[in-house]
Amino acid sequence: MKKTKHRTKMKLGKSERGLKIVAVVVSLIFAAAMLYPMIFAVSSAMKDNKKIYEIPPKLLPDAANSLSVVLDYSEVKGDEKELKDKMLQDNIVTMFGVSQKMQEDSIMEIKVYGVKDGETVFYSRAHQMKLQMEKDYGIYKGTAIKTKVLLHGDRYIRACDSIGYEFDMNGVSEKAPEGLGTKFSEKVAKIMDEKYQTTGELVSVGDKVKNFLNLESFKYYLQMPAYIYPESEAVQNFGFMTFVFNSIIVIGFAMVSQVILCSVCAFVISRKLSKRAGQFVLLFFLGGMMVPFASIMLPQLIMYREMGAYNNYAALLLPFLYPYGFYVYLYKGFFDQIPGSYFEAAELDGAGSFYLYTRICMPLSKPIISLIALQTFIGNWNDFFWAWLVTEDQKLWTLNVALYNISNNVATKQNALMGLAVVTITPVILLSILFSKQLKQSIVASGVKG
Amino acid sequence: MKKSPQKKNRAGSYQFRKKVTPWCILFIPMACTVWLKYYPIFSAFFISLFNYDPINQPGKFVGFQNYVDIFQMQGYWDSWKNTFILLALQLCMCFLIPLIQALLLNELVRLKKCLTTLYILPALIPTSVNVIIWKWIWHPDYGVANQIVKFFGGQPQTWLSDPNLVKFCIIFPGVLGGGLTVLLYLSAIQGVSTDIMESAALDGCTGFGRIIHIILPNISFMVFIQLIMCVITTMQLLDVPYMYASGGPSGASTTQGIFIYNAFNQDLNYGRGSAASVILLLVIAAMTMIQMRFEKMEKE
Repeated sequence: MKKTKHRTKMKLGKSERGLKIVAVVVSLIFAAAMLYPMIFAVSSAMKDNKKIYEIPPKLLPDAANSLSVVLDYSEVKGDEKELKDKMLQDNIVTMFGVSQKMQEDSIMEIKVYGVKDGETVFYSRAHQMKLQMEKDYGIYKGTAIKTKVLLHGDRYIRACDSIGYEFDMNGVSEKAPEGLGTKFSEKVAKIMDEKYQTTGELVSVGDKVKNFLNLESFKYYLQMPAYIYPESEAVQNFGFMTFVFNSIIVIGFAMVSQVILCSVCAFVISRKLSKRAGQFVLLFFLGGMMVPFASIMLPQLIMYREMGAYNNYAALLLPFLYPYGFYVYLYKGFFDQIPGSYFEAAELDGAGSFYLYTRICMPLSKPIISLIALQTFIGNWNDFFWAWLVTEDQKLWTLNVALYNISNNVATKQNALMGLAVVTITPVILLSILFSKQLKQSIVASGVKG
Repeated sequence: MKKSPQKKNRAGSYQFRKKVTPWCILFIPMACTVWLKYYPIFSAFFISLFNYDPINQPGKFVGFQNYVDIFQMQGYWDSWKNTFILLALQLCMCFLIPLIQALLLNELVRLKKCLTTLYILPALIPTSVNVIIWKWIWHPDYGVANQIVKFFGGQPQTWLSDPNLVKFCIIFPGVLGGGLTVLLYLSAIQGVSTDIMESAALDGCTGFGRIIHIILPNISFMVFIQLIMCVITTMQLLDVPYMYASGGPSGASTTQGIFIYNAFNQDLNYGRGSAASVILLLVIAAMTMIQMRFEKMEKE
């Protein structure tokens, strides 16, 4: 008796186990396939400007090198002003020259030290992305990297101001380093000797592996829009954050307006109207939601233009000013479940509609409010075409529009693009992992794709 | 006796007020809906009847000439063809993936929670980011796709610049699955009553048999609804092909939405664009009707 039972159990287990194994394996393959583009994006974002165009593409970025160049000015005659000028010139020549000629070596950071009589009097540091941006969009846009070109006019002064430097005859806070690697010293010496001659004498070249420099690239990616669109003041000041800010305004407004409008409508439908009238109003709102965007985009654009809602915030925000039928429907389902005796009791005590709504309905409907807010976020986070149609000014672009436009800019390097993409999705992914429980509940409760 | 009519009157006014107040509150949202959603539909129909001139509105009345015109345009039928090819690709390649993922997810124990969260992520990644990543993967010179093709001994392709492959490239990212649909399927599967499952297990229906004979028939309604949703969304596909290839190369990825957009952005032919809008609206409305009919059937 006992034996047969055991056998049947085994038999059951066999087919079940087969399914379990298949489920685990296939699910893991799917998970890996889904994670691959994301990991690929992060790793591409951390690659430097040369490695991104490497064939075949590697999954992991190379180790980042930090290069320190020490120049000696003990032999140079002249007063402080002349010395400073010479140092600024040398600084620019060294930085751009080395980064130009040594693209293969993943040099992510160049530090230049000026030494006079054993005292460090000049220090400047630049990240590779900073130099690249100056070269692609900034002061040296469309120029060849040659000593004469680099030093033409006041270019080098502007470039130094943009990069940042320290100069003090009594010694600066950063001291010339010692005991670094000498992997690149010969190469750098050769390059500087042949092509980029400096006034100061090249004393030593040190290198060090600093992998966090790959992460520092992100800081420059965020500034990049300011270089690409210098004509817009807001973008100039806030860089990529302008677009983040716009997206927050639009989605925030959408959330607030939907939560309030839909709840008011649902309250009236659920509590104040007869069943038939309520049904009619609900259908009226639902019908409005089912109109496909593609088919009303043209007349909508003409209408908004005539109203003057074009290329301003009104154009971005107005489309959220009507209640989404689906959210009204969700609210109504919730309000219908609130016991009627609450309202009757309040009404007997002389409460008006407004009181009923603000003091009874709203405090009870916290779960549904968060659900609607989440739904609005998921539904509009992806919104691209309308925002793209109505905005011309860079300062109005939302994240999606900005990413699309930056990706269409020919000069944009792929690593920068990936960096911006990663910056865009990381907060959302982190938040969704944090609130995954609420997110799942809200999706399942709504039952319809965002 | 004298008081009674007055009382009645007052009661009447109370009743009247009770009836009117809700409509007064609803008036603003309803007016906004009409203004922002319903009016554009009529406006589209109105514009489509004219040889629309944005400066001297509304231009010359031409009746249904715009409709006749677009029906005779090769480009219009091409865009429908493209839309349907995209739809077919979507249904063949991507439609069943979330279902499979959900079915397998239901069998897992330990990984379930973690993977469910992972499956939501694609829904939260905006199209623009997805397009950036995948454009790089499809890149003819530096992309991963060509490396894989080369690894298996094939010829490198130009992917998004190839009119024959562009539709495939646009739809392919969906093969990774995920998204909110997985969760919807999963909740439907978990909603299947355990009684059925247990009695089936007693009769020896386990493993894959259980999935095929018990779970699938029980969630077929959900699958069907998702099918219609998928058809509706693919029919109005606009941003995704636009961001990948802006309707090109040589119009190979011009969907209905992009055709409408091009009609007024490139050809400046508002009437023609509106006529195409109205037809698209009618097609989608018909599909929505079918969906609602089936939803109603299921409820009964």
